[in-house]
Amino acid sequence: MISSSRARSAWYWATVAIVTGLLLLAPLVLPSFRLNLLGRFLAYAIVAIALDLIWGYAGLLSLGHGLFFGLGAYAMAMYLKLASSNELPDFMTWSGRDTLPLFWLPFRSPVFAIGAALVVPALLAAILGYLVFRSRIQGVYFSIITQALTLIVSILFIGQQSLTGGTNGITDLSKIFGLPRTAARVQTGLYLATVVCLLGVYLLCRWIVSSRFGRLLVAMRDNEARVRMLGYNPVVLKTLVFALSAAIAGLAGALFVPQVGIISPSALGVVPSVEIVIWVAVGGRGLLVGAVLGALLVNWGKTVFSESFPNIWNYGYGALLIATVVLFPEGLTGFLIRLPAWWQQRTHRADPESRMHNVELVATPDSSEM
Amino acid sequence: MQSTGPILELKGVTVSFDGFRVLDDLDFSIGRGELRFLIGPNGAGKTTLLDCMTGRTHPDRGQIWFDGLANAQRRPEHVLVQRGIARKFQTPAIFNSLTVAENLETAISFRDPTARLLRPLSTIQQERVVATMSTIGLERRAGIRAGTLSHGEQQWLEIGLLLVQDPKLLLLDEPIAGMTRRERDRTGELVQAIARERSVLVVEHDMEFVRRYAATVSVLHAGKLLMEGSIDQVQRDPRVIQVYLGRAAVATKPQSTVGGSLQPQSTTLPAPYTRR
Repeated sequence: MISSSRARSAWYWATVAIVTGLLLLAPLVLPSFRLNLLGRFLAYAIVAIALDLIWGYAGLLSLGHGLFFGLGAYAMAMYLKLASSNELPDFMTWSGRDTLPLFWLPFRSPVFAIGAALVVPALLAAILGYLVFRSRIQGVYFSIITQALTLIVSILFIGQQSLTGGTNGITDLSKIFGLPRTAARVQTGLYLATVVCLLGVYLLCRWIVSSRFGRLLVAMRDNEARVRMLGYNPVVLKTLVFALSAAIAGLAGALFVPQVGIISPSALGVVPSVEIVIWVAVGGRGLLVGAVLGALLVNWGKTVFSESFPNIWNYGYGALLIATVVLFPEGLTGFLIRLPAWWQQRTHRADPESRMHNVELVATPDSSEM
Repeated sequence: MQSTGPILELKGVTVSFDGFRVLDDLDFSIGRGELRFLIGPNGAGKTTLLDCMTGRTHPDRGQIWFDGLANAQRRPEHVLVQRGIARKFQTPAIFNSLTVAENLETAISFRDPTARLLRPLSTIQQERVVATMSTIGLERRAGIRAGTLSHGEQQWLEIGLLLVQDPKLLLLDEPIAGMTRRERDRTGELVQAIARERSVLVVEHDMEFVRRYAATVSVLHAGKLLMEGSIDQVQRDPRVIQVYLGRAAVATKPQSTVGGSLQPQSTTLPAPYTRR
């Protein structure tokens, strides 16, 4: 038993090391366009992990992770914009401003911007989470409230043209850390940073979900009243994990923006939030690897299909979600894990003796009841 | 932290739902190390009483003291649990997706700071989890998901969740509901063993079970304490008979005296008239 679990753990770490190694070597093989695409998808994979942490384990379906991703992206974009413009950002001049708004000032510092990309989403999630969880709002009502907040903030960003760039968002981000953003060297660096962050986030979340804290998250999903009646305060625990998840989503946004070079309110709205849910559902929630695979596969599929069938891709997206929910409620990884057991059961069922054995097993508890 | 006096005391506790008084100016107390049974017809307020004791319901009026802690009626549930109160719900409240061992590990970690939860159990905690699994007879089920246990095993696991926390006062709401005879016997022994080290309050409908294990019985009726005494006193008391007969007189007669405890229907009535 012990040796087999040790062997399995050795296999696991070997797989993690190989996949990480392949991702780190990808810049040597892939053309820059494909590498850039992969870098974006890996940033998406980070948000997917963030959502899986709270949805797959704690049972909190957030429809607001696009917002946290977007806030992280905006924080980074504000730094990039200031680093790329000699004077006032162009959209401010167009809307008739002649001075930089106060809250933009500290974003001249990249350290501050990266910090804000983590802290602002975490803080917003903590405040919203605390209020919602304290009122014992659960399930679909939690989802609706997170979606409403997302909608409100995206409308706010569109409305404040002179502060946020409005519908167009923040564009023309040409420089990062004093270097030209689109240079191959810089893009490779950003890609590698994304790989490292993905690995770090994955290991952090894996540590959390396999710890006692992670089991407590599952326990809250199973029976919150029992958790409370075991002496824990679910409000604190849920607020903590929601804020952590939002910070990770913000990090993903901050990695995403310099690879894309633009951020607009459409990236922080309701639709991207739902897309994140689809990635996790397709990949298989309740397993961090599932979230990563879901984000990569769905986005790869989206690229391939939208290149060939630009008009109908969105219907395909919807069909994919429905098919997943109906046919594979546990997602791709859940399906793959169940496959061996299902196959065994199928081959067993053909054998009449084992069927009799099963009947006996079922009957036993009833007969002792008599 | 006084060591004398009752572990739990309620004075003048009143709870109303929509103008209906579920608990009516109730005085109640449980002594240290006592094993107490609480009976009463449906709607007497038993579960509401437990809700008040555990901070689930905050009474409209009245005072509750728990182990030297005044105003316990205003504290939230998790604070009272931290102070040493534990409650078993009517239907098994366990964590179905966790294994038996993980269920107990989650329960025993309740006083660890949150950051400590990222690290493994201490050796002492681990030993306690193993010991508790053998107390509740689930040591061979350690790695099994709690959701796949039988109903009786789930009930024991929930008792185990509470035991592993070493509470000062244990509240058990119908611990044998839905159990087979053998399971009932084991549970009775378990309750007796538990009660040697702490105060225990058992809410139970099954009179056969109460008769076998009870020392003192309290009878709750219409939100008030009708009487307290030994099981014999209670079963002979005309007021108690009145309360139960008034509700279920018809069901009394056909009850057989043999193996009355086996039938779940026999639950709501005391059996003096059939047994004697």
